[in-house]
Amino acid sequence: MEFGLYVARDSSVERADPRLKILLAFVCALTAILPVPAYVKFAIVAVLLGVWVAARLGVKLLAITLASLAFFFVTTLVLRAVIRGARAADVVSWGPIPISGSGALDGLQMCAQILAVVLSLTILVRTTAPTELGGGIEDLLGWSGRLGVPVHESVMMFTISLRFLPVMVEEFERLQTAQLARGGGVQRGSLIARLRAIGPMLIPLVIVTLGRAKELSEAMESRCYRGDVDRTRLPRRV
Amino acid sequence: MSLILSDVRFGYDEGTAPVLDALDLTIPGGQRVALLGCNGSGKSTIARLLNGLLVPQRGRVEIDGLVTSEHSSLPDIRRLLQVVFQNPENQQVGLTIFEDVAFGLANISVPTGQMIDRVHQALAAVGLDLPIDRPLNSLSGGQLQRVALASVMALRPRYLVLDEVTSMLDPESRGHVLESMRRAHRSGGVGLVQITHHLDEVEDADRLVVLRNGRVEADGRPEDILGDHALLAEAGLEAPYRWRRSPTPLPAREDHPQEARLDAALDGVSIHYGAPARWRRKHRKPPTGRPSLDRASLRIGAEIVAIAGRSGAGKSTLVGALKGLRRPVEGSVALDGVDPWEARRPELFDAIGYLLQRPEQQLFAPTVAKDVAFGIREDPVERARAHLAAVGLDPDVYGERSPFELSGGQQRRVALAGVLAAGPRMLILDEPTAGLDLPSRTQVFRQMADLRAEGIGVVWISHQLTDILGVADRLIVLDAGTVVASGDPAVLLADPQLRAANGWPLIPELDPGVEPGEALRRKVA
Repeated sequence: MEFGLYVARDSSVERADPRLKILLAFVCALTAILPVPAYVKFAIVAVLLGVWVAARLGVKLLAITLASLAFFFVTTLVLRAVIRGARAADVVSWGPIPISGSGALDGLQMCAQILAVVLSLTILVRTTAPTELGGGIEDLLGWSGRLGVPVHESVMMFTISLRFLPVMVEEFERLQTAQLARGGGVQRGSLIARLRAIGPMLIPLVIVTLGRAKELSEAMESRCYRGDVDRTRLPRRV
Repeated sequence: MSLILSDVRFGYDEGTAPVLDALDLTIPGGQRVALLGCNGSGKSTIARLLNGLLVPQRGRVEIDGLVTSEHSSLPDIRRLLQVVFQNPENQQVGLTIFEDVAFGLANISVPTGQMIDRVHQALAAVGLDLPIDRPLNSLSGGQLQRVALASVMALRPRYLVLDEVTSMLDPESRGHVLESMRRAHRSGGVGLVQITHHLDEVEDADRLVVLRNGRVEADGRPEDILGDHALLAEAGLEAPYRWRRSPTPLPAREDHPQEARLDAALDGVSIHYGAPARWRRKHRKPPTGRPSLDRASLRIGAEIVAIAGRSGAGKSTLVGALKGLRRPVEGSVALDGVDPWEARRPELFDAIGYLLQRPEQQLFAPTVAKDVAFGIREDPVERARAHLAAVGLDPDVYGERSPFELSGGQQRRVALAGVLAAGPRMLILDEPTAGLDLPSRTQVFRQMADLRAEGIGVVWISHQLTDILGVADRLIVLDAGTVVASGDPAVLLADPQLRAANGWPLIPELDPGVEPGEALRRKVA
């Protein structure tokens, strides 16, 4: 089963209560960006890596995640070490370049806090089915509904858009073929011609989407949907 | 216990005539009633009036004594009466089968602990045997429609309204959905209101109601209604084959023998899943995917060629190869003997027009004339007018209107005019008759025969087997990317092996026990 970023892997992390996962992910991410001692940040990263293994998310995904952050890590480390090195007390010269030990540590700490945020959120969305995630958010933020925040509605919109995104992509590809078959289409001509060719596809796409939305709302209403009024919850696992 | 519509009037626009006017209809509980009528006869409006999505402008609609115009009654009305709509994709709320079926259960406050049982019961009621955690985006249209049926059955309604639920499905899926519907009716004692213009789906109903111009034109037992050809013709309906004396005759191909304007051929063409659209022989690595088209060969002249096969059999890939949208990985395309790929002349493919499925959804221009003129390089205004007239739309009446104001059938004709305006010498049509009633379908058939008479070959992808019969000159059957049969439609559609392999129902007219109609006899002879 696969939706968005979530892929079922049957791990203990996946089975855990989504509310707990959301809370822990936010605690980890928040703690890491607060001014806490460096070793706490490193500890959080270490724990998250352990969770990553338990969640069976795999080395490949980890490598991709790290690679996407590599540029940021390198520049942070270099800038911190060298810039601090230019005026710090603990300078070690490496050829003509002054390097600071405390600067390097500072850079590492910054990398760790970003990594902690990325890892905790990645683990959360990769191990929690969208509907569970939505249910969890609804549970945790339900109280704010009384203050007029449309929590239930937002969560409903989120799950429905997940369902419709692939349908819309398919629709767009179909329109592209249709335009191509009529001698138009975005695959030929100059940049301006290509941009202009998007118009004939955007209009039907918007119209079809509005039509779908109307039909879906009718189907939902027919099936007794009245917003959050007296709704019972779906079981978490089936 | 009954559904009552009394003196109902409903119109969408102030200025135009109402869709329903002074309509009186009573449907007792437990009955299986079919509401019949052509496009625009107000059938779907009745579905929306019955569950209170629409409220009549005059008269009243009552569901077991509850009036739909009382807003406070709506929750109760919707527990009594459920509707399944036409497009399965547009009524899915959940991501998995379970989430979707349980959506309604949550809305009516079924306790969480009972949900799994109720979902299983509903799936059993429609005979759908799939794991409940299957994601909906992995299901076919027919399976999705049965999930929709299970979703409403889970709410244990007393009445079920089915609004053209089979019109977007292939013949095999249609059979499954109809079977699910009959099962729900028999086992649950649910009252069924079946809205359709396919009369072969309602022969076993308790009662048929024919709608015309917003009123009940006829109301009676199937044997009385289906035998009354004058009545059905007036209402724009087509009797099932068994009840038909003579199918709508079309000008035969032999009457207008014509040299083909374009001779198109595929020779041993294979195209693989995942291969790039502009595949090149120079690509070092052979394609890894399974072929979606496997060494297909065919030749098309001035004839109407129908292409049939299950979903995924390679029909779209085949026409994509003809039109030059996909380059063959193996084999060659020849248009009048020239391979446009080898000759590096992709513009040769412009000789083929291609009308995709549901083309009415691809209209975009502010006026009908401008939409048709898109793609005409020389003298667009005059030629657009001529092409509108050719598809039976008066350019003076329709030319300056917005395409979005027209009916579905008219929109489809505008789209066809737009493709014809490019002056194709061969035409590919993908499901051109889906969802159209008999008058609109006959219009499409005539158009095809006219094109053929001008020497323009028509390649026609169709799920509607009864349409093919008497219209197409030849049928090509695809299975797993291979051309498995090519020949006389009447012979192939009756072939027991092909029928079994493709899940085709036996068309009554091809049944040896039934006297064949005139047009068919002509073809077989």
